[in-house]
Amino acid sequence: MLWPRVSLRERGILIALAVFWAVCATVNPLFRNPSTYENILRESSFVGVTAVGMTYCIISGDFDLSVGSMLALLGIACVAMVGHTGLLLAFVCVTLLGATCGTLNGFLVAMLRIPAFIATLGMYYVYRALAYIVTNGAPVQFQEDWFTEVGSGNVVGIPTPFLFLVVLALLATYVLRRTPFGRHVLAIGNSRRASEISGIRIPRVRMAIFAVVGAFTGVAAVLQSSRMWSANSGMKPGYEFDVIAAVVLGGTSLAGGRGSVANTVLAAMFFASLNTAMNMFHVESYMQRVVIGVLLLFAFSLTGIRAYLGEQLRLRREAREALAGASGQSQPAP
Amino acid sequence: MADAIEIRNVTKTFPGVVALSEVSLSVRKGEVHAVVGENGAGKSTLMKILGGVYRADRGEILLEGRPAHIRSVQEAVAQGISVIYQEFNLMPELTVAENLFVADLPTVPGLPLLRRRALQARAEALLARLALDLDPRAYVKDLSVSRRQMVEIAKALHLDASLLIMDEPTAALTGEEVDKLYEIIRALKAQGRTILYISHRLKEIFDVADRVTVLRDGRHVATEGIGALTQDAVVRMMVGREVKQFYGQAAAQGGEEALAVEGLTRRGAFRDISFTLRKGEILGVAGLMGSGREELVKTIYGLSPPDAGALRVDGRTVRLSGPGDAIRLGIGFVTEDRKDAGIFPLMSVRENVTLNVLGQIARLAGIHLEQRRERSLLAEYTRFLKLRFADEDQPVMFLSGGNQQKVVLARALATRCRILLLLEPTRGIDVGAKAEIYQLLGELSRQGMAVLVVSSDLPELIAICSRILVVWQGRITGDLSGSQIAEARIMRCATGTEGAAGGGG
Amino acid sequence: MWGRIWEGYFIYLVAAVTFAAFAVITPNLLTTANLVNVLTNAATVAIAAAGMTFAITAGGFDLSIGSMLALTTCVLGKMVPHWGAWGALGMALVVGAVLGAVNGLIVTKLRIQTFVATLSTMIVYRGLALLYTGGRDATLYANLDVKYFTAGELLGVPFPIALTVLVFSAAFAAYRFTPFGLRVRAIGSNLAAAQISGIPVHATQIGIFVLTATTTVLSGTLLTSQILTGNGRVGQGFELEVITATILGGTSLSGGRGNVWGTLVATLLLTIISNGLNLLGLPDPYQRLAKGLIFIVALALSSLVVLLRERRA
Repeated sequence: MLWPRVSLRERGILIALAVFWAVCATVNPLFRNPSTYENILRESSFVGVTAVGMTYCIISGDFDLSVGSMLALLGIACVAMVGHTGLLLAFVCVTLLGATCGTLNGFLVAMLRIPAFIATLGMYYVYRALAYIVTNGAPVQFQEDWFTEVGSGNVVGIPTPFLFLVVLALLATYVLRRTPFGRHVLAIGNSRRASEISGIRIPRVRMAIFAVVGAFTGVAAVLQSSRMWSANSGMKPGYEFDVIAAVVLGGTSLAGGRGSVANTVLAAMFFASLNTAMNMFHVESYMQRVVIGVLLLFAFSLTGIRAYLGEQLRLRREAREALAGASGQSQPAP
Repeated sequence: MADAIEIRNVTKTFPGVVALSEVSLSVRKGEVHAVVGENGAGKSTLMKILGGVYRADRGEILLEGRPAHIRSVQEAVAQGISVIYQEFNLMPELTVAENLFVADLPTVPGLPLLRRRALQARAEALLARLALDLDPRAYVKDLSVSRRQMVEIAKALHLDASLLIMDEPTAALTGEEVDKLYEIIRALKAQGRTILYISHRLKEIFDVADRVTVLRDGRHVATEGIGALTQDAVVRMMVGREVKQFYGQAAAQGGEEALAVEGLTRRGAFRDISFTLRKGEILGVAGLMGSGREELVKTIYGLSPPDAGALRVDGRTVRLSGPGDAIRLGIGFVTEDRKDAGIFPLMSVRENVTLNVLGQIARLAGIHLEQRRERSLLAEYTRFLKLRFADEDQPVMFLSGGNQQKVVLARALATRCRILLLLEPTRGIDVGAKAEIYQLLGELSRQGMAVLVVSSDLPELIAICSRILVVWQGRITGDLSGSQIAEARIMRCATGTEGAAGGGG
Repeated sequence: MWGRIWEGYFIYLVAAVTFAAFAVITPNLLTTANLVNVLTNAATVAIAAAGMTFAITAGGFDLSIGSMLALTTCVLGKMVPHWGAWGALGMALVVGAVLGAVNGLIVTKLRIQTFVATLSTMIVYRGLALLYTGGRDATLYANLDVKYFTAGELLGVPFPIALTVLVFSAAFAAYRFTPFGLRVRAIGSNLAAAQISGIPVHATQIGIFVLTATTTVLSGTLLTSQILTGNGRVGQGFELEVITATILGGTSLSGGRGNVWGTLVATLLLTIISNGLNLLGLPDPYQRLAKGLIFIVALALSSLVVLLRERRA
């Protein structure tokens, strides 16, 4: 029902993940241990949750470079308030705060028409600076069990953060495919002018998308700060790139117009699996980066080749459709 | 004397599709040779083979009697073939001179330093050869379409092309600019160059070509001198069936007022426009490019606000803050720029057609979209519009131009609009699909739809409209119906010779 | 017409206004010592931004320069004791050119978009830097040679300033007066047309990446000379700072239009702000806040001007 008829070609990341797990399990006994997978699922969630929101953003043809700084700011807000407000209220507040930051981003991009790359680049500085100012550069901590359980604990054997990821991903997929809002997101990414003609209020939808990104970042911030039982202004440097890499590796093109939340989640899981595997194989931590980078290049060159092939296929299909559709009632020459 | 080009038995196949089959034709040196045919007839494939983009599977190409091997764009250029595509291959942020000589820059010998004065001089010399009115220092992004085309032609000249292939060269030009293009083409002819002219606009073919080749279904149908043919004959050869049914029945006269415009003004675009559009009529709007027609229709649809005047729908004065309001009032709009403003290319046919009515077909307070409802809506319009596609989930960009246009039309109609505004609805689609669209418009008007069509194709307007407005420099200069409708009269109004206040003669 | 002038020169206006404002608020700003200080601080970002101007003009950018910066310090840190400052610089330049060429090859041969490609190499190169030094700092306190790059003088002008002037003059000359510069603009303006017109697109693209790498190595040398260590962790966020300066300087993100001197002015502007805020006693994070806000405000204004121009057209 929710699963559209997609060809195997579009689930490449799923195959890659399955193959990777199979290979690791064959080679390393630790990879047959359920706790390893528990670890992977948990670790994939911190980037994955934001990446789900970012998928919407990139599908609609926009971009948010400030999520790393938002994460820090929101994480600090979470840790600072959770002691006073309790978990649920903190969750709600941080998510709303995230949505507000996102809306601000969206305002700059959609209303003031500042290119997304530039606006979110600027806010990247602003949010992180705010985070630093608010904490005076020192980390904030909160160590109560009921808080750290969220990030570190399990529910019926599945890591709690991963449950969040799955629920949010399902929700996001549903909205994208089965609601008018989701269609509008896709439409804007396909053709701004046609969207305008169809009566879509483009600035509002774009702002809403940025708000979504902010809200999802808020959830990720709660999960992450709970796991670390602290937050500081320098946490997770490069987070924005991790998130975008997950979306792009999952097959969503930076040009927009189409994408898959499920693939983004799988890509996040792939990264987490990669990290875990390298740790287990005692790959030196600095070498790990090299491996990840090279693997990304490999994956993207495949995409590049696939895009090239796809272009060839498209040209041929165009020719075929044109011939078939044009003179559908053509008669033999007199 | 050897022909400029001789094509012998050229065949080109893509997987599952035969684009060209044993096509043979010859083009004489120094002539303007038109190539016509429906989409899918093979014109564009032939052009791309000559231009070095594709390679033929079988067959030979001879240039001036000698066999030619064209394996790449560079090789085509080296052998004197230049193709001028519809989307120009220019670099907007560079100047005219820089665009012309970008591959061939004059430098100080031995050093990587540009000689700008030499660049300027060379550009001026090149442009003078065809008396092209261009400033080499102008940035291409500041140039009009017509001027950019001149740059492309100058490029071809620089490469000393002996054969120029022009793909739909007049698609975006005004009447004056088309005349200027004809002049340039004649000048090129006088220099002994050969021109291959691909166009859907039969009137132009008859204006400028010496001979015509008709392709159909990848095969060569005929090559004749232009004097021996009539437009009807050409269309018949292109389509392979009788043309009488081409335009369909003429539309009925109008009933009650559906939409009225009073004193509508937008500074810089149009002034004091007033007219009525009635139910069941097809109202045409003729005029040269730049006359303000498109801006008028866009203002009626709410894409830009008027500076003065009123709009009445079903008798009530309304103010539109955007297309959303227009849609709610029952107005539908189909643009002329299918690729950029019509289709959602990566979305499926189903998603394209249903986009404007999502709120209405969604359940649960407009949140949940049911696939069943979408499918039945799609089926309804597939039947009505005779949409042809392989797979309803396939991205729309894979459809033919004609079918894409129908998808855009379906999306507008799905809102159950009672007023339909169309901008150049048959631009760039093949004859078969055009005929279908004319029939559809006729059917819609018979069902009571009020239709407004803006088109640059006069024969089209004359055949399908019951009434024609003519616009010149932002004002209405003619409101013709019935027997008043005649091409000559329309052209007089469109050029301000008739109907303009204080004008005439 | 005003719009065109505004676009090209508005950064000068903003810079002049800001400079004047700070000059009034903090008289210390105008002392020679302070100005020299400002220019020296700006040099590191400015020089890398000169190269980045070409990358953005061609329609792409290089996200890996932060990692290359770190790698440069590591190479220098390890090689200076053996080969001296200039010898090590030579080696660093070679390494940089190679890495730049690798970036170029990835983009041209593997057909990967620049964003994604340089994102990946950013990760790889940082890993290489850390591997090379084993994560430890390679200190150069003992070596006085390398201090020349910060403290030394060239023709009476402090070296960093001289180097900046040299680099920007060369960059401007390349941009305006060489075929290479024209090709960069052509590629950025319309890649497809550039390819068809027969100019060597791939070679130019590789050249651009080698250029950004080379300028980054020069920046890295200045940095090493200041901190006197080779550290695999420096430069995080450097690429964004450099891109910020380039865009603020008027180089258009959509390609085809670069502003070499604008980049320099923008870098100076950002440094002046930091400097002025320092003199006012404002702590570091507020400076970053200010930087971000100015970036946004300046570009919002620029955007508004373009919007107004379109409306009137």
